[in-house]
Amino acid sequence: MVLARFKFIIFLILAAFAAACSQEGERQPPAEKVTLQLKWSHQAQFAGFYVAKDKGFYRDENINISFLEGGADVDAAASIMSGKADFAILTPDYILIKQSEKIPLTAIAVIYRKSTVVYLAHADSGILRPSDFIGKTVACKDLRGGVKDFEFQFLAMMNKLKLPIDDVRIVPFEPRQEGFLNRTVDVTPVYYINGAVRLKREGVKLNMIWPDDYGAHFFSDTLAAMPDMIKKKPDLVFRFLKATLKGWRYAVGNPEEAVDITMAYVKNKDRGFQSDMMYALMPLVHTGEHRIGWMTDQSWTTIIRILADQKMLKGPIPNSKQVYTMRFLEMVYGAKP
Amino acid sequence: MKLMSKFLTVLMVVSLVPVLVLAFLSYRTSRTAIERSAINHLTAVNQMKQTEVGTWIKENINTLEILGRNPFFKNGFKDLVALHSPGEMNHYEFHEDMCKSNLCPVIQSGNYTELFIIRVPDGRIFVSTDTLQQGKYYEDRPFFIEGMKGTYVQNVYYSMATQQPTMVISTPLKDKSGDAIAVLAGRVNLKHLSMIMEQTSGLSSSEDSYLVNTFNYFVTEPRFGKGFALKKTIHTLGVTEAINHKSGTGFYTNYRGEKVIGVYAWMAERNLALITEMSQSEAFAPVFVLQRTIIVLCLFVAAAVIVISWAVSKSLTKPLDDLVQCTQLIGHGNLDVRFEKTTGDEIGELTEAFGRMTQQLKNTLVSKKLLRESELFLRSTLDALTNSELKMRTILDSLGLQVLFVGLDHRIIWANQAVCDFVRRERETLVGKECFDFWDEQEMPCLDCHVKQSISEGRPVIKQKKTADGKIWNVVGSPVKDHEGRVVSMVEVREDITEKVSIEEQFRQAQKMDAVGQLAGGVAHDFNNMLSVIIGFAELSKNFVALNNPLTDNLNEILAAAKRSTDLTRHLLAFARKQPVTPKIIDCNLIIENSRKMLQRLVGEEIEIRFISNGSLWPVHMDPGQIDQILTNLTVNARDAIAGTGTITIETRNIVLDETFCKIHVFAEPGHYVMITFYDDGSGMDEETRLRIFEPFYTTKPIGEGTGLGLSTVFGIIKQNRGMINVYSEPGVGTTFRMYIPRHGGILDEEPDSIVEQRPRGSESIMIVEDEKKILKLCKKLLADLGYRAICFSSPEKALKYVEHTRWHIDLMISDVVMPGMNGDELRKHVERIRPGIKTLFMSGYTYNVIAQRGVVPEDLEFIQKPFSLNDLAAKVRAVLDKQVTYDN
Repeated sequence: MVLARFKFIIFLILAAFAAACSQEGERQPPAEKVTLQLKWSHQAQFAGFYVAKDKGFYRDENINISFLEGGADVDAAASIMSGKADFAILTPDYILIKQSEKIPLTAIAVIYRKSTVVYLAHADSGILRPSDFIGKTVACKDLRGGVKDFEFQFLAMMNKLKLPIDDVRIVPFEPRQEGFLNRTVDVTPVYYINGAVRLKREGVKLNMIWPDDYGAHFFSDTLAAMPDMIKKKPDLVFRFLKATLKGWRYAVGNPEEAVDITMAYVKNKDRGFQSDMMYALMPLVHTGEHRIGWMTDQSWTTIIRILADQKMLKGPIPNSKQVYTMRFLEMVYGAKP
Repeated sequence: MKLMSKFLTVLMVVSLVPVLVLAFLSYRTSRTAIERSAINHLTAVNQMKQTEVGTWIKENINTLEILGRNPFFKNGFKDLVALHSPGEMNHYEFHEDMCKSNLCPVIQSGNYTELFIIRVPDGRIFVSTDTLQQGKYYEDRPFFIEGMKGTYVQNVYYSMATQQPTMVISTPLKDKSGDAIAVLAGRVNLKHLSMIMEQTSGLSSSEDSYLVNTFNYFVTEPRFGKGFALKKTIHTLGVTEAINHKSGTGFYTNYRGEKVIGVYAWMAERNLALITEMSQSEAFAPVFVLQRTIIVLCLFVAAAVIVISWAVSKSLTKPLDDLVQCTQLIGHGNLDVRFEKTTGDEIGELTEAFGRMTQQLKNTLVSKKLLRESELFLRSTLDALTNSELKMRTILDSLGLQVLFVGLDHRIIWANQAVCDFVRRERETLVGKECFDFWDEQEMPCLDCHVKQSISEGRPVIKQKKTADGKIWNVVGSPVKDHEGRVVSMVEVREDITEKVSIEEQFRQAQKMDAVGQLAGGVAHDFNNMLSVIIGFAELSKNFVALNNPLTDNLNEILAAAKRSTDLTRHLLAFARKQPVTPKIIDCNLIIENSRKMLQRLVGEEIEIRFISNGSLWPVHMDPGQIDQILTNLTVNARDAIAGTGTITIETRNIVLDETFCKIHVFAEPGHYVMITFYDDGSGMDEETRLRIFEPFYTTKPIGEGTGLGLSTVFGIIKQNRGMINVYSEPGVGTTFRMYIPRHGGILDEEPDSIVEQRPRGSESIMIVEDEKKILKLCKKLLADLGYRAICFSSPEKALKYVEHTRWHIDLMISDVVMPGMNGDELRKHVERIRPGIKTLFMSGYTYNVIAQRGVVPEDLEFIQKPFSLNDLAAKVRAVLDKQVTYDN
């Protein structure tokens, strides 16, 4: 009797489960796999993506996200071009350079509205602005292709201010800033959210010279996709962007939780560092002027112009409209900026 | 429902409902009022803050614009600006002067944190109160681009330069020709904005105002969320509505999950939403207090109601409860309950009334109970009495005796059913009658009245009375005494003993007949032995005497006398039922018919003998000679009684006697019988004679004419055949004998052949055993004469010893039956064991006795009745010897 009843209940549960599954199947196709190529190794820099994944924002959009770590020896563009990744986080200059090389990478949103590149001088050095670089040693020389932005943003600044570059001693960039710390180097570029945070944590008093304040208006992390993707799977792009931006909004609003989530991904388990990085990146992501991820043609045009000025673009100078699309941002936020 | 509960409920409803209604209404009213006042308050605050924000911004704008209209910027400033080349580094002094003289005072006023002038068109910060900012290029900043055209307010944003949220107001600096030569911009001190927001009206501790931008980000720090500005988004109802350019009020959950009353407004001019909130819990705190007060009040009222109603109902219900309990006790039959009047009100009176009622009820019930008990007792006694009376009456009615209850005045008080049946009158008609009147139909009591005697003697008196109808009554009169021993009445018990007396008489007669029979049988037996000797020796003597010898005559006389004596003894034995008989299954009609001629001869022609046969008769097992003998004896008797002409009638019929008949005739046995009725119209006889006629030697005939054995023989024969005889006679009318012979189940036997008289002889060895030596001697002599070899023994022991030791063959043993030590049959068994096949012939004057004791006559048992003649013996011996022996083994 009891056994029969138990069996019946089991049967009901199974039937209900099966029904639920079948309905689920009818209503929603299986989650689409999306791979995102990160610009660098896992750190709080990408907190918004982790949050979007962990809080289920991607899942809500029926996306099964996976991240590909970047690094010094990872060519993010190659990853997206080869189709290994569906989306990539790239710098706008990189996108433009690829564009000029006829590789039609398209920006769909800008996560870091301000470039994270910042030039550091010791607080007691008296170096406050690019004009102070004259006669000083600046470690912005490109080591490899990956850090070109340090050099061209420097050049852009110097050009903007019409300062004589020859009067500045340019030395190769040191990832660990050894020369800067032993003062053989006067000025070193770093990524604000990483290098600057680290140095600050080490107690180094710094003067920060922002290229943005000197005409080098750059974005940093920009989400890019191949035109094929945009053309063939606009809905997926839209859903991916929607979830991503939601993740970033949430991360900015709840930095501590975002750090907690991030900690699961990162190799550097120094929570203080990741937390500092988080707080550092927040004004870059959310400036208060626009919505997160928003792009303006003015910005892109500026960047193109700067790159063109630097002669960094081979071939014809691309039209800003070719480089980015507001289609998906407008879908996410409506037409409002 | 109990009275108390009812009372409580009613009181509760009556008191609580108005309280609740009142409370609800006041709650509603106060809530609405508070709500309204809170909204009004919040709206006022909100509007005030809008105004303040607006005013503050306007003031800042004014400040900046006034500064911009400074003549300093109009005159020569253009050139100064134009001169200033990007590479030029020596302008600080001038800058500082400018700051000191124009910008710094404004900064010092606190409204701006930084004031700076941006050069048109390259966007270079020409001068700033913050020297660090000088030389930067803000050519892409909205406050510069827009600021060239006119006064512009750039909404709050995060400034990387200052590392904090900032709001910039810019205004063009124009030359005389009106062209913008630079933009004067200032970073507004947001502390003021925050202060405006933070300022509370003081009416509420939870009051909270904040600004939210179009991106749903906090612009100012809300009161309970430090660090939220430009970091946290907010999507509450108020914010959403405000961003959609709506203003209003709402009840919703705010950024920290608290329920609030919110007033929201869209400041279109500043693209900011201003939200003013207040926690509902605080706003409605008075309502909650009221609510609590109401609840407490209600509880208090309820408690009060309970207490009051308890107290009141207690005073009401306690006596009532007591009353109920008491009445319940009464209901259970306890009438000893005491009703105590505890109150002076109606309930007290009710209690008192109940008390009185209970007392009365108790009294009534007690008497009722007693009455019922006595009634029950009476009823049971009556029942017992009735039963007893019925029992007594039944006993008395069933008694079979007549029972009368007679008073001292001879009047009948009561009579039983037997009396009523006897007199064929109803009991009621008997009561009051005088006993002598209805019993004896006399006017006076009997002279020997037992009633009188019994009363006078005070003890029972038994008397026998013979009434006119010939009945004999046994009358017992017993005095009935009262408790003082005085005789007050009398019980008379009357029993009809007529029949009893008659039966007793019959019984006595039968006993007498039996005794006489015994005596006669005994005498006859011995007499027979002697006669056997006399006849035997007389016959033997005759053989030795010549015919002409005078002794022959003598011997013949002896033989004749002896033979007569033999007849006599034969009659005696017949009466004593010891007559040797040869019973056969016969038809009585046939025998009687054959005997008629002989009987006719016996009575002569004067008397007619009639024979009436009523159909064929059942067979009977009887010696036919005995029937002849009966008829002969009766006929002789009848002939003598008729003494002249008359008729003798013999009638036969089958008859079945039932129990009733047997009760009356004490010796009769129920069953099937053949009845032979023999009656004559002779002189008859009187009662005395009738009673004695079957006695042997009783005769009415003159001495010498009758033996007195005729009817005795008849009686004996009938009894021998387990029959019955009954005589009825009336003097002068005649006598009737009725004889009943039991029916036999067998078939009629053939008439036996007549035995030829001869004296057969033989030579076989015969052993004779006889304790009577004379008989032994006679037998030996007789058998020897017949040629047999006879061996004689005077005792069975001797004979047995001989048989055991001799080797001589013995063909036949002739043995007496009754012998000392061992009877004939026992001897036979012993001998047969030693000499199987030996034949035995018993001889006895008693033979019948021996056989009778055995109950049946064995078919193979041979015997010869003593006394026997020589011829008898010769024939019997020969017959036995010649008989084919058939033994089972």
